[in-house]
Amino acid sequence: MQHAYPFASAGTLAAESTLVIELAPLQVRCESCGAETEAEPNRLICAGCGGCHTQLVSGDEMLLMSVELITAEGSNHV
Amino acid sequence: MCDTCGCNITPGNREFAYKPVNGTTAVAVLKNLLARNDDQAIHNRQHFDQQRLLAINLMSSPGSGKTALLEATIDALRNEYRIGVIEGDLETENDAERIRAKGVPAYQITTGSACHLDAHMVHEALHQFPLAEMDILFIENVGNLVCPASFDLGQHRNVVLLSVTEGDDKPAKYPVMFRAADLLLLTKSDLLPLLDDFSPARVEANLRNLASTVPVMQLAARKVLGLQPWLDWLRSELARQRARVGRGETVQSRLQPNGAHLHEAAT
Repeated sequence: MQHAYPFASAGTLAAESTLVIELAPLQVRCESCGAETEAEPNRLICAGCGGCHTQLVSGDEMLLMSVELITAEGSNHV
Repeated sequence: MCDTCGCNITPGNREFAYKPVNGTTAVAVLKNLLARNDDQAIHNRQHFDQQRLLAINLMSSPGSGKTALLEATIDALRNEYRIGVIEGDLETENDAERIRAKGVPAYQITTGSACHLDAHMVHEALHQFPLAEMDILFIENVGNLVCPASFDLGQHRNVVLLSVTEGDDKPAKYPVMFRAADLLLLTKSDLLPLLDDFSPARVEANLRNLASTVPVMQLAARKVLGLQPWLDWLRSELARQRARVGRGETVQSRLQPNGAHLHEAAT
């Protein structure tokens, strides 16, 4: 995405804009003990109690979080 | 949808959503970048549920035996259920021809250079099918242990195949795929006695490290060995699907980003 973005945005309103990719930490929530702990991609069990009934709560999403607009000079930069 | 109300914010990304910015206006968007695919997948699932059929997405490396599993499954269930198959490959009609040779309707999607099926491709294929005359629809995804795991096609269940010649550390190497499995099949199990470096127990340990509690079964489709648990799983999943449809409910396979959904459930 980082490499493709300048090409995809060229000639559009978003030309000259910067794409910022922020990585979210990988976290799981344990259904047994309730702890939210950091995990590794191939080790998603609870770091607290070692339980396997966990849910990934962060680190698996790909979201467009926000767009910054500069409007002072009348031109919009996305 | 929750993409617009902001409840996609999870503990891990909250700080990014409201980061103060000097001299500019930050507009929160929080749009899932796969939203268009996911919307189409929901639509596909509605098609399936209207027809009371069970849709299964088969994923694995190339050559692990997806088509061979389908051939054996068709042979075993042809008098019990009406089956249809959507095949995904970059090129050729080979797999669809193998399925048609079993007397079952098959539609081949050729993706050209795409390494996975997406919900739009499957939707186009659906309209080539007599869905109303079908009990189980198998979607054989492009052979690939990476990208197919990220695209919801509208299926109810994901079945991941791992042939015993591929190595027992695959769940650790390709966690996104194996975490998406609702069922893991170890295929070509008749070769196990010849392989001194493949341990089904290590596969299962690596899978459990992904916090997955799904069943693991061994079978050898071309030798018609060990098929019974798989066939029973299919029967029970179809019964569960019909019961769900009767209650006006549906179910998604495991591949969705859990964080966003968990957050939806909590708000």
